Amino acid sequence: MIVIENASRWYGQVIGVNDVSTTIGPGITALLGMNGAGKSTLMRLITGQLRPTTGSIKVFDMDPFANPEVFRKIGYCPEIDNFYEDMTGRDFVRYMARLQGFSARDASQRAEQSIGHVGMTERANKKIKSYSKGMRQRIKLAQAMVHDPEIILLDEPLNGLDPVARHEFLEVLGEFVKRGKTVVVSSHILYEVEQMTRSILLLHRGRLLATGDLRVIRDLIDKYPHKVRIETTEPRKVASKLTEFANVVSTRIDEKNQRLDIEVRDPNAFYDVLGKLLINKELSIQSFTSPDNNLESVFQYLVEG
Amino acid sequence: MSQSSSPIADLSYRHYDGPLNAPVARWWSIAKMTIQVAIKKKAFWGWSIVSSWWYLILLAVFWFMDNVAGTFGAPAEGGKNPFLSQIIWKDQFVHGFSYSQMILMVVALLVGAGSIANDNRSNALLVYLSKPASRFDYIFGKWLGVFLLISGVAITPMMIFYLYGYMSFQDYGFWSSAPWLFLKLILVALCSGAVHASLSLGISSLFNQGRIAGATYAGLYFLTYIFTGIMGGFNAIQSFGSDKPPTIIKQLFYCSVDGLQIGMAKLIIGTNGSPVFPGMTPGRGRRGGNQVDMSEFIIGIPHWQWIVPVTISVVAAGFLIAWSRVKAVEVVG
Amino acid sequence: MKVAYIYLLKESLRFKKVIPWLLLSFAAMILATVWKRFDSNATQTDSYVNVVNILVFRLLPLASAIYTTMIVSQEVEQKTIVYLLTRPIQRWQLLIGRWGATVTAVTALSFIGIVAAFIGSRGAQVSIGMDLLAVLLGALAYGSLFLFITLIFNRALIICVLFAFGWESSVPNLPTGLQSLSVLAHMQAIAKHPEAEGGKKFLELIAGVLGDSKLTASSSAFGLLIFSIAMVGLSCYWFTTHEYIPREDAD
Repeated sequence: MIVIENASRWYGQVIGVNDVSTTIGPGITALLGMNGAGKSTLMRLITGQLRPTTGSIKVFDMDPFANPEVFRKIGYCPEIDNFYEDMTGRDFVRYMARLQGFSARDASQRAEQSIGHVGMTERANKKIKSYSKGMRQRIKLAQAMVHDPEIILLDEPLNGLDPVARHEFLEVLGEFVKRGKTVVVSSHILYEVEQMTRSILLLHRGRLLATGDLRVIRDLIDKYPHKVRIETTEPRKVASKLTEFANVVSTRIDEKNQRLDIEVRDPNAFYDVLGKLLINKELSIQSFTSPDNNLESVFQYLVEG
Repeated sequence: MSQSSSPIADLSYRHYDGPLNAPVARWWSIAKMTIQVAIKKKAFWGWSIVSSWWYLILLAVFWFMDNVAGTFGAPAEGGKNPFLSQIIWKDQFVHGFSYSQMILMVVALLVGAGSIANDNRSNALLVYLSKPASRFDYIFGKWLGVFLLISGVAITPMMIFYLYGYMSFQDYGFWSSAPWLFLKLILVALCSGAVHASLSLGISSLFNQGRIAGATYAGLYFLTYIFTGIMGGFNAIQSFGSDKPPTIIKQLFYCSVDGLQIGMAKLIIGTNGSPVFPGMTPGRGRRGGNQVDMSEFIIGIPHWQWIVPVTISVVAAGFLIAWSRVKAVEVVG
Repeated sequence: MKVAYIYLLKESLRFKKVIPWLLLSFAAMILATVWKRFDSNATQTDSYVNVVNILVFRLLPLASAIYTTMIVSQEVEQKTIVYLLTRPIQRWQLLIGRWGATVTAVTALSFIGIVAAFIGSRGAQVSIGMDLLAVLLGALAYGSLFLFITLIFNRALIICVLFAFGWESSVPNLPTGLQSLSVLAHMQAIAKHPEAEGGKKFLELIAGVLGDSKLTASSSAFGLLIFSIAMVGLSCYWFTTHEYIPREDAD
C-alpha cells in the first residue's frame, strides 16, 4: 500500500529523512523514534504535504503529493494541536467530511458516526477552544476516520490521553485493523508502541535503523549487557555480593561512594536474585533503576553496538 | 557551605554563600528579549533603513546644492548660497519625521503587533507568567522593548542628518536658529516610540494571531490617516475658497496616529511647518485671484491643551488595554 | 470548490468580522451628509463622489488585503492548512473557491459602503452602477494580486498594505502612463467621476485621481479582468506545485 524507495528529504542544510526504503502493508505499523528522528517528516511525505528531495513514495501506486485520489483513501491525524477554535467539534468533523466530497446529509451522518466512535457525541456541540487535550485528540481522530479511509496515519496520537482514553483509543484502532485497514502510528515512547503493535519502523536521525518485529529488537537489546544503577550507602558490600552471580559482567562504584553501576547478561534472572536478596535483608539499597529502559538505549545498541 | 574541620582548608571550589538577591528588574529581561528577537529579523533592518528615505534625499539635495549648484548663478548677500539661505532647518526634521511615519508603522507591525498575540498563541504568555514575574514586568518589558526599538529607528536618521547639518551649515544658522533642537529631536523620537509601542501592544493583547493584530493596527492607522487626509483636503479647499479655513479643521487634522505624532513633533520642535523646499507655493485662489495665504494653507502647531493630554491618554490606553487583557491563567470554559 | 467557497464565505461574513466595515459604511454615510458643511460649494454629487473616492475606493484594498490573507496565510499560521491539503480536492479548486469567497465578501461590504454614501449624499446625480462595477473589478484585481503575494511571501499583509497605501497613493497621481499600473486608477476610469476644481486638487491627491488619466472605462474594465484571471491562474499554479506546511507564527 505504501512503498517508500530511497526517499530523502532535506530542509535546507538539515536532513529530515535520510535514504529510507520500506513497504507498509495492512495492520498497525509504528514509526518509532526520538524527537527529531524524522517521523513527522515521513508522515508528511506519505500524506503528500511534502515531496521527497530524492527517491520516491507511492501510496496505492500513486505519487501522493497534492493528489486527491490518494487523499480519498487516507486519513491523517496530525501531531499539531491546532483547530478552527471557534467551530464546534461536530461542525469541524462535518466540514472535513464535506471537503471529502460527501453531500451535506451524508457528511452529517458520517460525522455523527465518527464522533460516536471516539466517544465525543455528548461534547461535540461545544466549541473546540473549550476542549481538553484529550478531547482535542479524539476530535482529531474523528476527522481522520470520517470518510472510512483505507489507510490512517496517526502522528503521536496518544499525547495527552489519560489511561482510560488510551485504552478506548486502542480499542478503536483495533476495530479499524480488524476490517483489514492499514494504520501507521508514530511515537517516541517504547511501551506505548508495545501496547499497539509489534511491527515497527525504527527511525533515528532521519535514517531507518531497523524494521520488523519489536521482539526481535528486544532480543537485540538483550544480546548486550543490561545496565542497572543501584543507590546504596554500602556499594562495595553490595558489589561483592552481586558479583557472586555469573551473569554480572562488570561493576563500577562512583567517586562519592554512593552509587553502583553494574552490567548483567540476563536481566530477568538478575532481578529475581536481587529481589530475593532484598527480601532476605542481605543487601541494603535505597533504589535501583535501569538506564536501558528507554528508547535512547535501543538506538545506542543499534547504532553503536 | 559548612566550615571544614580540617586544618588544611580546601580552597579549590566553594559555593557562593552570600545573600541571594532576587532580580529587581525582570521587565528589563523581557525588554531585552523583545529587542533581541526583533533585531534578528532582516525585515526589521530593511524597513528601518527605508524609514530614513527622506533624510537620504535631503542629504543628497543639500550636498548637491552646497557643492555643485552653489557654484552657478549669483550668490546671495554675503556670498551665501541662496537656496540654503532660505532653508528653515528645524522644519526639515518635521518633514523627514512626517514622511517616515508609514514606515515607522510597518516597523511597529514587525516588532510590536505580534509580540503579545504570538505569546498568546504559543502559550509563551503562560510560561512568562509562571515565572516570578508580575503582569507589570511582562507588559512593561514588552512595551519598553518596542518603545526602544521604534524610538531608535526614528532617531537614528535624525541624528545622522543633524550631524551633517551641524558640521556643514553653521553659516546658514543650523545651530543658531534652534540651539535646543538636538534634545527636542530626541523627545520627538521618544514620543513616537511611546505612541507606537502602546497602540501596537494594546491591539496585540486583544488577539491571539499576530496577523490579525497587525491587520487591526494597520487598519486603525490608515483609517485615521485617511481622516487626516480629508481634513487636509478641507483645509486646502477653504484656503483656495472665499472663506478662511475654520480652526477646528486645523486641529482635527491631527486626530490620527500619524497626525498625533506630527502634531507633537511640531509642538516640541516649535514650528508651524513650511513648504518642503523654498519657493514652493500653493498657487492662486478665488479671493480676487490673489496668492493663497501661506499661513492659512499650512496647518500649524496644534493646541497643546488637547494634543498633549490626548497623546498621553493614547499611550496610557494602549498600556491599560494590555494590562486588562494579559492574564496569568488560561481559562477553559 | 463549492464547499471551500461556502465555508470561507460564512467565516468571512461572521458578524464579528463585518462589524468594523459596517461601521465604516455608516461613517461614509455621515461624511457624505456633512460634507457640505466643510465645502460650501460642493453639490450632492460632489459629496458622494468624494466620499466614494476617498473612503470606499481607498479602503477596498485594505479590506481585500485583510480578507485575502484568510485564504492561505491564516491557515498556514494557525497550522490548520494540513486539514485542507490532505482532502480529496484539487488545490486549485480549493484556492479558487476560497478566493471567490473573499472577493464576494469584500465586494458585498464595499457595495454597502457605496449605497451608504449614496444615501448620505441625498440625491447625487451619478451612475451608481458604474461604481459598483468598479468595486467588483477592483475587488477581483486586488484579491488576485494579494492572493499571489500571500502565496509567495511570509509577511504578506505588510506588503499588501504598503501596496494599498504606498503604491496606490502615489502611482495614480503621476502624470504619466504609469497610471495603468495602478488598480485604483483603473477603478477611477471605470467609475468616471466628474473632475474637481481649485483646492479640491488636494482631495484628488488623496483619492488618487490627480494624474491626467487617459484610461477609458472599457479598456480599464477589460484590463482588470484579464489581470485578475492571470494572477489567479499564476496563484493556482504556484499553490499546486509548492509545499505549504504549518509554520510557526513568529511575526
